[in-house]
Amino acid sequence: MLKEIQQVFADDFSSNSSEFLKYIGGGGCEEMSSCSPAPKFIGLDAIQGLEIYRESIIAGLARSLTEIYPVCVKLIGLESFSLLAYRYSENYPSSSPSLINYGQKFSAFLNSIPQMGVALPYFPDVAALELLVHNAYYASSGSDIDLFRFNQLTPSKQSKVVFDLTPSFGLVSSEFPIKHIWEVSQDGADDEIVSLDEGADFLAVHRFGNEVRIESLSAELYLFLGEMCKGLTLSEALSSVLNEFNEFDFQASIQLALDKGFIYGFHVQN
Amino acid sequence: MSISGKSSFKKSKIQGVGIGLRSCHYQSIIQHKPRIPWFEVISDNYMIEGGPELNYLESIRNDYPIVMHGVGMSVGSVDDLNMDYLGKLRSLKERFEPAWISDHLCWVSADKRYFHDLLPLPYTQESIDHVAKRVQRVQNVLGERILLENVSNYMTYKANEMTEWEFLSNVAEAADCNILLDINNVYVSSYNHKFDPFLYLNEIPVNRVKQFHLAGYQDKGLYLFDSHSEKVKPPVWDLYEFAVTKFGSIPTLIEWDDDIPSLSDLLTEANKASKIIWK
Repeated sequence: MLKEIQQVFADDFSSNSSEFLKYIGGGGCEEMSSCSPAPKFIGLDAIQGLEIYRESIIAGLARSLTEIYPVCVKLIGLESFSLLAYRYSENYPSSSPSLINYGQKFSAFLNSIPQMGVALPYFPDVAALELLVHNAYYASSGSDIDLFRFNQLTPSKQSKVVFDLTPSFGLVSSEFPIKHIWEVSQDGADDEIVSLDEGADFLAVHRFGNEVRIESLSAELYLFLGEMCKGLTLSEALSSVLNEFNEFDFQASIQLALDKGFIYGFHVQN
Repeated sequence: MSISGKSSFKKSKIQGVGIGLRSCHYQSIIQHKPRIPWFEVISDNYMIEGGPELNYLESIRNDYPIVMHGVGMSVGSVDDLNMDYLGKLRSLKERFEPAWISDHLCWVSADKRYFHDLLPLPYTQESIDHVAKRVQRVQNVLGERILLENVSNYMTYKANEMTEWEFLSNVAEAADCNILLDINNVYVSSYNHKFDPFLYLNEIPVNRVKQFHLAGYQDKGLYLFDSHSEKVKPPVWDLYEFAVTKFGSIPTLIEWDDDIPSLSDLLTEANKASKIIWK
């Protein structure tokens, strides 16, 4: 019976049906022969009771999105955001016991809404940036890279090095100035109008100590770091970038990635 | 998860009235070290890879004893026990040494889908057997007896074979676990299902109850909703006085999760409970 009840509850949520109602009655003690003394009057009925749980579940998921995406809330207002959050929550179940992990597909969901591209074309990209900020906040800390060991490698071994990017590291790009939008949406920021004509953003997000940082990158460094995120070796990543940017400054890029703390380890691929 | 290793926090007894640790109060607690006997920590919020939250908790733990309270164990679910979750809980226990660990007598997941809400179980022998088996496994993993909390309830299963208080008592006995008695939840459920909350408290075994929760509900007209967003309401204070008379000066927590007030407002509410507990 327990298995059946829980399965039907879950199925109802997926199919938006109310089969579960057959398992619940109205009021506290009316169904119980052992309840004594018998209640004078009956409380919530089955439909009301089930609706309270459904509303509470969806509202709880939606509320967690407002905590993960505060800039998105600010951009369109709580009421409009809640409509989107409710729609997302109805269609994207949570698979983790922790709400911290919820909402990972929110940007993709926003991109799937046809009107979004016309009304708020930058909005899904801002959401993608906020998710990286959220994830970076809870990521583990990386240790310092052992540069001495790296420098001891022969050039042929160095070319086979795969860098490990710090666990909080993430990349996001947009044809819109999403970093500027994010900055002016922070509490205490100056009231400023952002022109969408400011141009594209190539961004890295990572945590340095307790602080989550958003760093602007060149298009070529963004591509290079993206290739490293895929687990390519140095020579593979370099050749991929040089295909598109033949002026790519490899030495300066690696130095910048090290200085910013993007890289925390490496291994040599056999 | 990267947390591990033995810690060496001072062992302090949990007594009196504590409050729920919430991130908006971190700075104030660390800076001013207010006189609060203990904090209850939502364990799920610290099952993370790293970052500032764990550092804040570490810092606060250096000055205060804590208990850990979870919402994701899902002891009533028929899904397999989430061993990853339990592993993280055990790591947290080893790192932060809470005086005890609690969760809810409910299910929050089914078919590997998490609802993040505390769904009630049918009050049946089948549920008792199922939960008892799972709690025993949890207690084996954690190496200690846990506390299970009664949840607020808005629906009644046709399959119920007993009252909620009989169910709670029987589960605690069968699982050999303790009880976190949420006084507000008792009152909310009693209002919604029209039973006598004093009768409920009278039927709970004294030796199993190790902690009380107090919180505020919202009056929705037709029913009461356990919102954790208000001050404790007068009928709940009355029920609490009765509970203290029956169960003794059990450690009590002021729970507040939405529209969280300032620390000083929370302390005012805690002081109110202290006056009752130490009367």
